[in-house]
Amino acid sequence: MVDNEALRDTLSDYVLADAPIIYLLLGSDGVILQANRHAREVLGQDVCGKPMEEVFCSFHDPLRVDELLSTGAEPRLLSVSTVSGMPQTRLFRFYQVGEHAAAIGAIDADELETLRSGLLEANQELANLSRELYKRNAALVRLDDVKNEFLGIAAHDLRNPISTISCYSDILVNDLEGQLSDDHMEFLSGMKSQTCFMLHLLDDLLDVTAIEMGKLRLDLQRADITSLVRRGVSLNRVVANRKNITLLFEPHVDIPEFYLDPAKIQQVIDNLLSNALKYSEPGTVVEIDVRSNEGYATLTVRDQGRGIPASELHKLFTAFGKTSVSATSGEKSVGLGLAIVKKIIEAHKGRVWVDSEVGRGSAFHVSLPMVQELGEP
Amino acid sequence: MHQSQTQITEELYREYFRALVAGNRLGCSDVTKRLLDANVDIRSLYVDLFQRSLYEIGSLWEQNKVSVATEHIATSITEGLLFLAYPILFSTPRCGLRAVVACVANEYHQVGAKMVADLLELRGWDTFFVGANTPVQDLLRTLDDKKPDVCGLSVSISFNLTRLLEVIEAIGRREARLNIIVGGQAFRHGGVECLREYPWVTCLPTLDALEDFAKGRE
Repeated sequence: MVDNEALRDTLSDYVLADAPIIYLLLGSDGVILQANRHAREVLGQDVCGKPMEEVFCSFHDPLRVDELLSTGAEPRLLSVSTVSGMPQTRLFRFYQVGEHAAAIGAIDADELETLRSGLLEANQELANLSRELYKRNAALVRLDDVKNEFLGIAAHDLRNPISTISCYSDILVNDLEGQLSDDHMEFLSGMKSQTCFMLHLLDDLLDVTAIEMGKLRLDLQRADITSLVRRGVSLNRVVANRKNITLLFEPHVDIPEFYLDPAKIQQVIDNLLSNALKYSEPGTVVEIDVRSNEGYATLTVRDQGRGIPASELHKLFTAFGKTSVSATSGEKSVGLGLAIVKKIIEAHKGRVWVDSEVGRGSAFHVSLPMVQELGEP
Repeated sequence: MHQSQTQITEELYREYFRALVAGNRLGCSDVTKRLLDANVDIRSLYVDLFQRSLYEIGSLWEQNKVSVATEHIATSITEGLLFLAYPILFSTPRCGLRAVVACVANEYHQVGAKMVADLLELRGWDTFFVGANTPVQDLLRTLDDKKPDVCGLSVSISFNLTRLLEVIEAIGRREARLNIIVGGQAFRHGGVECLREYPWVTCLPTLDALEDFAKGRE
């Protein structure tokens, strides 16, 4: 035999104290007369005495107790304002209790299950897509390595025969001077200059592939950057004179020696000077400056060339990146020089950047940390 | 130069497990990153940390000591932590073998199958992880497209074993010679006897068994 009264008391105690449902006793005027513990936790400890409009969200007609009771125990979705500020939607049922109405609001289990399984599915899909992304990325890296290896091998294997051609054309030019027609001498000179260009291109390709494959090794030695710049100016003076461009380098300060890779920095200086000369008009000046400030040595190569449009500056330091600006004497470029400069400088933990204005010229800046002891950060 | 590999100590495991039960994603990630920085063996990470902790949480759930929500969050955290191993996993040299790994239809527990795919990847296999709840037709299309040497199927719940047999037969009709490996918690208390009629199907109940199988194929 079930003791119904004891059962009612037990259930009542459970609803009031422990049940995870909202229980509200509403007066006929809609004022909240009683709330269980869970309701007070969700809606606020001061929920009793409030009119139901302050608790139930209703964007159209105000809720009325008699109207809610008329639907009987049919569940209806209603949202309530909670202490957290986020509204909560519950499935509410309304029961007549004497002159009052009991509102019971439970979490919609179906909705919760839909939410749960939806979230789990979305999470799994995200995890699977991310895995696929990592996998494809790794495949791309492998492909890039294969490409670099191929480029390196091709450049290396091409270098020898082209070197041989360059040598032979040198011999022919020297030995046959005066014996061949002007046209034939011009052909031989042209052959020589083309092979020189190809050799430079192959050297650049070899440098880039070595850098891309992580094979760039710095041979750090204490060196005088001013001497390196002087040497670069001297080496490029022939080209500058041929184009009637003035190379101006007047060091103002003594910059102490610091650790760098002299051969690589010489390459940087040569690339920057070569670029400046390539894109400068005859009769202009290419100015080189070296300064030190707060532990950094900054080299600047400034030209009075055509300048580079701001929208194209991002292409400058990328491999094979070319802008719309062409060389003033038709010199060829494949766009590797500045990419190599950037890699070398970054390997030194330095920085390279450019200021440029169309019609006024460009200034390329290289900043290097003046490392005095190896192992310094 | 061979770098010595760190072991997963019991103390470290417990620290990880406490974070996992608490749903503390950052705590779990911290332990995992420390292990990876200390050059932990990836296989050991998967077996002795991820798998062991998920099995332990599963056992706690069976004893009603944690909720199913805790178990789901733990699975989600673990799946997220697999990413930390991916830079190593996907950069190993390829061995030329391919596998497609999937969970049968109505199977939503995918992390075990994913670990199988990942450990094969670590051995240089090219693996294609199809995911949870894979309809038969989708799986067959993937097999046609990827032409794997092996197809791996995961079943966690024993009443999905029937679906597994349907998938095996569907694959067999399309490609009689394709090796199939199966595994999952559904085989924990038997179930292998249902595979007797399919001699080309191998049940691999543990990740160790998977290693032996893979070595035999390489």
